[in-house]
Amino acid sequence: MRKIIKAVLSAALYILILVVIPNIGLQYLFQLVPAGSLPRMLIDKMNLQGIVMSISIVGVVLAILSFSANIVEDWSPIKLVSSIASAVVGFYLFLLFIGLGDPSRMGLTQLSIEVATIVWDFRFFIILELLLLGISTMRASVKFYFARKEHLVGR
Amino acid sequence: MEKGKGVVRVLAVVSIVATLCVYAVMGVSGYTLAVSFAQSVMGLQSSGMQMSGDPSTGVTLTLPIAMRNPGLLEVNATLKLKLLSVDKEVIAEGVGSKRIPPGSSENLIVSLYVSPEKAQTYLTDPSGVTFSISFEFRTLFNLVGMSISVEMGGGGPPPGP
Repeated sequence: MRKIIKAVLSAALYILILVVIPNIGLQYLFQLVPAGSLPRMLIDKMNLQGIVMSISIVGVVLAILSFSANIVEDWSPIKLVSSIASAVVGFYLFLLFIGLGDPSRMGLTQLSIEVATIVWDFRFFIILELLLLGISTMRASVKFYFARKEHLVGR
Repeated sequence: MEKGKGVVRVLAVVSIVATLCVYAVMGVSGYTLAVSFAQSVMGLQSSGMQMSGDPSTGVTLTLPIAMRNPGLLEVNATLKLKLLSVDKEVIAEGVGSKRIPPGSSENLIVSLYVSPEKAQTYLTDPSGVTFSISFEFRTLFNLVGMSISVEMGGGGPPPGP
């Protein structure tokens, strides 16, 4: 019972942070920023609706992965696969943020507004995120290995 | 099995500490870039271009900018000025760079010299030239950066009050 509550709560947290809040925030932003103004042009140029839609999809995927990782035992291969997939999807979400909705930019993002071009070079952050992805994967694998070993000895 | 639990615990601590460190570095460098970039772009808008000389002796264009770094890390600011012809041929260019320690201000002065031949060819008709300004900010040992490039053509006046 405690496992089910934990799994539901962790999934609900992802839905709240990555689906509910961004969508409500976007609606609020559209009401706040008048159409035709410079910030609104920037928002339209960035395709904020598309970014929020992508974040929502990633949020649902992460919620499903989190639920499946928390509902099973530590020795289950489902836990290992879900944990690694969560880390990979989390990395994709980071690429999505850094690339303003386009993960293929890999940290080098360009935005052109009228006569100005703004470029962000955050490629170093991608390397740091890859490092975190590696640590998460290693942690999940080691946890699975020892839990599996303990489970097999106990049988 | 205690050894296994110990390894898992150590990895969990390493993972949490690494995640916190990475996000702290991202936050600090992102904040430094955003605030110093915004402050300096405002400084660019309020600065005026100075022009000296005449087409027969050559023309020197000077752009002084007061830059501030209210961020938490050192910032390397680079300003590139280019005078381009209609066919995007570079008539003259000037580059200036300054390292701004956190919480301080610096004056960056960039000049570009247009030779008498080019001044007589291009500067007699201002609608035939384009002015390109590229402003770049880098921080965290030049590992992350942000830049803005603006092109003003059709004889529009250089930036100034």
